Amino acid sequence: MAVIEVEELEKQYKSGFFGPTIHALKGVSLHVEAGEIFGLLGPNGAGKTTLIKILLGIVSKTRGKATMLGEPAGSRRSRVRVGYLPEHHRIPHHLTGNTALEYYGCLSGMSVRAIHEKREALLETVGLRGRGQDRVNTYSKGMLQRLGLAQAMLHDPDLIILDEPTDGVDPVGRSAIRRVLKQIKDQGKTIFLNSHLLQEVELVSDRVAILDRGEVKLIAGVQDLTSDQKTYQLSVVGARDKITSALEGRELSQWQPGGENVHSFCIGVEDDGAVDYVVDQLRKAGVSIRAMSARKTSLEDAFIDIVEEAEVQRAAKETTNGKKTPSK
Amino acid sequence: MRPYLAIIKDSFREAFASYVLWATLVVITLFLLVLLPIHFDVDQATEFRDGEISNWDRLLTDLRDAAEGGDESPGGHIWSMLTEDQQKLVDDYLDGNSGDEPGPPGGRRMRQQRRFLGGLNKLLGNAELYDEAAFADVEVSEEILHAVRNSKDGSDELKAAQRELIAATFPRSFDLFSDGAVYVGYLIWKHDSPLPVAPSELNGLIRSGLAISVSLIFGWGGILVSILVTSNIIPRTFEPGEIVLLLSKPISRPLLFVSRFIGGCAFTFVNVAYLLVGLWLIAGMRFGIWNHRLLLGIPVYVFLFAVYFSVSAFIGLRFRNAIIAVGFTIVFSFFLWALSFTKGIFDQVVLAPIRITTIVPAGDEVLVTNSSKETLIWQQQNWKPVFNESGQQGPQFQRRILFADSHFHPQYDAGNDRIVAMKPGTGWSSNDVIAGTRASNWERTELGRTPDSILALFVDGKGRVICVGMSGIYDFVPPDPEEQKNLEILEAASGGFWKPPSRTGTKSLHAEGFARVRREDSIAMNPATSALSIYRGGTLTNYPQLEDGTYGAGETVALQHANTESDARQAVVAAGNTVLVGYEDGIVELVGGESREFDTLEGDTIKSSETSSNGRFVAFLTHEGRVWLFDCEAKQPLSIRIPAQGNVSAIAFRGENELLIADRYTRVRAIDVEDGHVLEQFAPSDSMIMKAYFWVVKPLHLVLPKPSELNTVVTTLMTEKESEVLTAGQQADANLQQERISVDTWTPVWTSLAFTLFMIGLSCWYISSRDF
Repeated sequence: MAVIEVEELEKQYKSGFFGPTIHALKGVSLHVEAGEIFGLLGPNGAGKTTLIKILLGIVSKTRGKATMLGEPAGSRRSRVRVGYLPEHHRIPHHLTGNTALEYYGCLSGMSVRAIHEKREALLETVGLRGRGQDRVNTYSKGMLQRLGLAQAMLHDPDLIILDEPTDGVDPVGRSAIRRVLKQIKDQGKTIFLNSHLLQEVELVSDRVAILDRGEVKLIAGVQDLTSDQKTYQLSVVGARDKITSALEGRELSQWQPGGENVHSFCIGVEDDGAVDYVVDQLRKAGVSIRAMSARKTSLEDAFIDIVEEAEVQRAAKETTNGKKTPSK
Repeated sequence: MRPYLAIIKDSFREAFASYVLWATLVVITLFLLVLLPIHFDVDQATEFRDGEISNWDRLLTDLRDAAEGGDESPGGHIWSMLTEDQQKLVDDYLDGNSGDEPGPPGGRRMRQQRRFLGGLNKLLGNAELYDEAAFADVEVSEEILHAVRNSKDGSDELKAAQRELIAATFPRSFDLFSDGAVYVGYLIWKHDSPLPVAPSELNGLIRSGLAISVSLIFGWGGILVSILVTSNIIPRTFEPGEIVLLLSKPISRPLLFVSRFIGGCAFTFVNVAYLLVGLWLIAGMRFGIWNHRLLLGIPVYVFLFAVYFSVSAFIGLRFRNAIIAVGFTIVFSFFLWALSFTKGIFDQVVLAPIRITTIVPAGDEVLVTNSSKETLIWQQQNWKPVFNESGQQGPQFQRRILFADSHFHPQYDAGNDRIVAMKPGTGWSSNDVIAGTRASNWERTELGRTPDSILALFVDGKGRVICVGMSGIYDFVPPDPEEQKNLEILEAASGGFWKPPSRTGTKSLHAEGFARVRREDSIAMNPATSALSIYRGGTLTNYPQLEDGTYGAGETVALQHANTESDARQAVVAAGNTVLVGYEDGIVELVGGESREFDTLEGDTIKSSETSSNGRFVAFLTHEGRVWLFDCEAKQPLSIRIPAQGNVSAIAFRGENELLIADRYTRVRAIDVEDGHVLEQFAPSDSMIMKAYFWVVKPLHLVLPKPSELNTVVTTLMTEKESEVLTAGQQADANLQQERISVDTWTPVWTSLAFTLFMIGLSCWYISSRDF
């Protein structure tokens, strides 16, 4: 069952009273299934936060359809089962960790008693044990993020929407947050994650969507995006000219010397037969193979490729439009 | 409700986390601690105070008269104890001499009274003041007699007892506040002189003091501080980082704002509640005044704050900036003050003086008088002044205040085709009566001077000018030819510089034993029979006009409503074919064989009455501007629709069944009393200044809140005064027919509430329709 369903969602707004109309979302469609961690990626201004705000009813949609947990997105009934950690959130400074949880828990419809029962364990989960009595103005940015995460989890929601949850958090804290996200996922909850930190997303997400200038460029599983079977990395012992002559006609890249006659380089192959051919050629030339492995693509590489490709296509389109215009 | 209660609770949490709140609470604590040691002590009264001698003329006359009979009488004995200076002072006072007191007569008499009071108070400590033989017939308690006989010379006990003794000797001249005196003190210090209040007035004094202090603290300063402190609540709540988190919760946006708004009042609530509960406890524990109404000031001041906060909140929501919110709110409050001030100027200086107060149908013409006691006639679609005194008119608003307590109600004398009236502002012991004929274009001439202070003037069926004074009923007669000749000689001798006071004489029309009429009594004449009806403090007497034109002995009629509570209650009498009495509580009593009461005026205070020329219809006008009509034939109220009910300022009958009503300051309309149709209208076109008032100032004042006027609500609540009623001349309400300034207590509350709800609604609409 889809926890979030978005079909042809559009958002337009005016920039100022006399300003131009901005198309923040241009027909976005995506589905998030129950129990998965779904990452939403995109450069600044891509429309990620706008999409989240439409789902939560904070911003109204212009066109299209959006549902959340089977209810119209933004409806009060849908928000009852959602926990949200906004980017750059601000918790009033007069609150302590405990009273902040009490406040936001009550806003989610919880009783004070139920909040008190869950509060301590939750603070321990997010790494704020013993800090519940302290005013939030004494918290570091990382601690505030963790408190924000705690308030999002407090009422045991079915869907948690996190906007840059690890922003400002140190590596240890990030690891703790990742651990918490895994725990939530293990409980069968759904997480909708929006983050600039692609490595973080890569580490926890099942699927990602890449949004660029209000359009979805790609939706895919993280595994599918990051495996690459066409480039191998080799570490060999032998003279460089022997290696190049043995593999003549093939593209060798990323040469890295590793000592006397020890080299590391990447080679592109078409299929498994080509891999055997490369090994045979090197052995024939007397070059020893110390290590050989298929190279893995990072999510960041994939993201940059997609965004750059989109940029190139857009530039080409604009050039075409520009050429056409004078002939009109 | 839980989420919204959480928001309100959070506001209190925020308030208590604020250093400013604790600072203001410390200031309030200090203020309460300063008040705590104040104490009022009630001791025996050992001297007479200002105001305790209710009738100076009678007291001093009685004293001087008693002196002629020797010192065997109590008055004679007291006179003998007075110093020569004191005795001369009494003579000067009674004979109208300036003596040792130069200056205008009014101030001189007051100074003479004070000097005499000082001398009398000195006598109180003199043990020789009591003479057993002289005071034998004076009725006082054994306790007082014991004290005057046995107390030491100069002791407080002696002074207190002799004070009671003298007051008992002249019971009609003294009105002692009480036998106690109030002293104010602080910690161990106590003031030597008593306060000029009776112990019974102390309660009211403390209540008023509390109301004034609270009003001063919160009326301006407290509200301003509250606005400054709370101005950031809404902008901060709607900062992107906070509002996005709040809006992601399952709550309603309008209710989020309303909860925040209510919570924003927490700061004011805590301060007001602390101060008022503190004052309530001090008043209760220190002075025994458990005035629970004081606590009603808490919601009123929180409401007053809410009026301003609704503006501050909307601006804070719109611009997300506390400085803009504070700046706009302060500008707005100044605008409200300026608007209120402008309306006050319009009302008191421009409009009130031209408000029609009486209508005088004069044949086929209509004359009116206004609050400035000017007479106007309807000519060429406007009111033109006629019948006015030449020279020294002065500004209208000044004349209005100057003559506020003057009865100026011209009457039309059809027989002579003229109007007659008492000249406004003339003396206390007699009045100038003036007349103006149509032939002379209503030019004012002097008709004569009455021998008494006149309370009402009528023209009877014989065309005579009938004056009802304090001591009788009079008619004007031609002067004695001999006397007139002498006066003319004197006038000629002075070269015309000196004018004789009157060229006419007066004739008494009343029967022997005519009971004195007081200023607060009401008099009416039946236009059909010329019979007079006089209501005197709870009794009604009808005086029939005899064939020779004099008035017979009065027949006193029993009144049902007057006797139920107090004989002294005030009323207005109307004399048609049946006599009706309208009371100050809005009840109208039909007097006669089948006495009945009508309670259809819903508590309005009756102001005046008019009767149609055939005596069939009677109309009562109330101070609230409503008209009540009665058909004396059917003995039933008339239920026709009367235009401008609630705004009527004057009424009069023209002929048998036309009622003229004045409203909207200068408009007069004639309506048919049978069906309520408007027959004719006399309405001048509005001047620019009137247009500005009716189209700009008044609508704005109506819809915008009136925070400064809300202070009146607090005073009303705390002092238990339901409404404040003063005459324009600021004298006490001596007469129901006197023009009054009613302070409207509750309209500012309703309009301020409506405005606040509008601003909250506007903010709710804004927050609901916006993306964040």
